[in-house]
Amino acid sequence: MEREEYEGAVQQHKDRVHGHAAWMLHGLDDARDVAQEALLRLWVHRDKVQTRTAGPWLLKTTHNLCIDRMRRRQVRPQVDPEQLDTMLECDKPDPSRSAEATELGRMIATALGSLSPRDRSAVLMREVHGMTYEEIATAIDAPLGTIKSVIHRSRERLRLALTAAGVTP
Amino acid sequence: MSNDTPLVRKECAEAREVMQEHMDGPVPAVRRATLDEHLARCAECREVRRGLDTVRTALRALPEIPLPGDALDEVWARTVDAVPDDSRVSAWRPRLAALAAVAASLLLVVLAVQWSSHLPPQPTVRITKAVEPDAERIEQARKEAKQVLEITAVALARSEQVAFERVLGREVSPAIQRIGIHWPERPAPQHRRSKT
Repeated sequence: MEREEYEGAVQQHKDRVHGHAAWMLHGLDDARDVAQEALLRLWVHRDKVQTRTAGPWLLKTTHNLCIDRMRRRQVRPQVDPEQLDTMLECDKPDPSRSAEATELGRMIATALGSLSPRDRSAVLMREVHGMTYEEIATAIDAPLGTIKSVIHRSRERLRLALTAAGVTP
Repeated sequence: MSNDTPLVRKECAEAREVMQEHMDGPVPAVRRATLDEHLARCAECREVRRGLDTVRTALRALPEIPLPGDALDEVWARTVDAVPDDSRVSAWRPRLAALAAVAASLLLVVLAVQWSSHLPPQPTVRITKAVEPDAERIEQARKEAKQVLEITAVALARSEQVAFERVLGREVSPAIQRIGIHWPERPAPQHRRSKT
């Protein structure tokens, strides 16, 4: 990957990387650190990463950095309501986003916090970033069948959590 | 009723598996038809399906959280801005190397001319008697020759560095500079041990 390609990849994926870290860690400060570290690592390894695979590579690196960070602290990040509000207000200028959608976002973000870090990362990669099962299996370093069952199970758990929170489909 | 319940649960489990597969992409027409038939008669599975759709909608509606501009600036400062632009460097480096090589060659020529001008004039007349060597002049010539050799050595070293840079395509680090160039040594002749 040449210098210009690196710059393009960063511009293209920086927000996705930051968002993934934010929803994984439920904190903007941690997300900022992780996103910067992932982008720096892409620069270091730019000779080995192709432009077309930069996105999945960055999300894999982000996933690993998030897992390392949680493991070091030995605690699962708690959903901080204040941080959550800040994160949900990130696209407040979007007039199409209703209060109802923001409330639904708050509930799904809280429900995500109840999943294990690996399951949360997998379901975010699938539903938010639109990655294929193969890409997720590579990113999380798990067999394809395992990833498939993880995502199916996580969707079901999120559904139950939303139902328990009073969200009626 | 009790006999029907396990059968219904199995149907529901299969239907929910197909629902999940359908969320990931198209499913075979036969499986899709079986699912539709099941959903037509199972209110609980219809509820599950709507719930899964809500989960997907909610996840996809999570706002993108942009990386702050100052955080991105720090990334640029530690990556692309921390190294010179390769394209510009590659454009002027060969020309600079060529110029340096030419300059080193010219310097050698000038030094050679200057040195030759300091030599004592060659005798043009027939020597009629032996000239006694002047110790003072010999010492002076020795010093001048030593100075010229030193300057020449510096110029040669610079030429060698320029040649290195042209081959490597980058500046020569101090570590590389310490590596000398030596002719490969001839293998020492193997002496057969004399039999005693």
